[in-house]
Amino acid sequence: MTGDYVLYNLIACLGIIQAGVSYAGIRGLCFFKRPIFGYLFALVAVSVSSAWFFTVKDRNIKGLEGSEQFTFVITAAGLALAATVLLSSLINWRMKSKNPPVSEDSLGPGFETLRYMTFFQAIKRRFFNKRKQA
Amino acid sequence: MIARADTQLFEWINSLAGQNWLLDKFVMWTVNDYFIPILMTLLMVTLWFSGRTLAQRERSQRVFMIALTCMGIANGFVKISNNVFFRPRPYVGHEAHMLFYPPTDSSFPSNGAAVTFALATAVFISNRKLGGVLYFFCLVWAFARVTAGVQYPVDIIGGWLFGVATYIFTYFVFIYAEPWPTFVIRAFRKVYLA
Repeated sequence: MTGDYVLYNLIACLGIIQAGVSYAGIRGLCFFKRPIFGYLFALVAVSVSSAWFFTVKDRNIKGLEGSEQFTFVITAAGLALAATVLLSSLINWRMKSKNPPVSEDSLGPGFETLRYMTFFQAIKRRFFNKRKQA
Repeated sequence: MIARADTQLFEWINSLAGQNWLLDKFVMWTVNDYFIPILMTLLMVTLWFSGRTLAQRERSQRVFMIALTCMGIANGFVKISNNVFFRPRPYVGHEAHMLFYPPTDSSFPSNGAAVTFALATAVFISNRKLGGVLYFFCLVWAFARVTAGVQYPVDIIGGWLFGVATYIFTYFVFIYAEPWPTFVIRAFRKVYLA
């Protein structure tokens, strides 16, 4: 039950995150270039995982407590975010070199930076390039 | 008098079970502990990423943090309440049409209603559209719980009050906890996760 629940939430969160980042235009975290595919991916991920979770076993029985559900949802959302970061960095690994160079001042904080580069490119730029300069 | 009205209302709503195959299927699909809570949580997750500008996103992320905290606190409040007060489920002492397994914990307040209404209220205060959708899901779930014979209507109203009270409590906790919530968002932002 726990495994099913975490997997269901993980896949559904993965989809929902794609819808969110596509809408917000955080291209460094997107799996697809066009936002419409992000929304479609979300729709498919949520519907398929829901269909699987609710048809593979009867869920109208005593299962997880509320507090357990809360913990597992947070765990699954965290894992989905980690998976998004990894996959999007792999898919968009050429993103920074394809884009015209962005000046330091025009880059915003946090997700704003990920409009122009992937997560790992941003981390590298922030923590390793600075060290080199120092 | 309230108890009598509650029982009558329960009996009326619960009598809908077993009358219509489609309604029964709908109730059995929505009544469980997972479908609607997960749907609501997923919609809440979008808040972390939504917002086209930095300011909009920061506001949404604050709402996300309050809503998440509300869910945890509402759970705790209901647990404490259940240790102090116990109300048997409707099927104990009444002839109820059951469309769900018979739970044995206290019926009042509804744990599910408390948690989902807390989440929906937190979102509704700052985002009427999304909050409205979440409130709609709460109402569907509440209807399903009563129709399935596992909750009295007053349990749902109690859960709603618990949820709203939890939101107010959490809201003030966040105000008094400043600058920590801002610090958390900025910490996530520093590592490009917010």
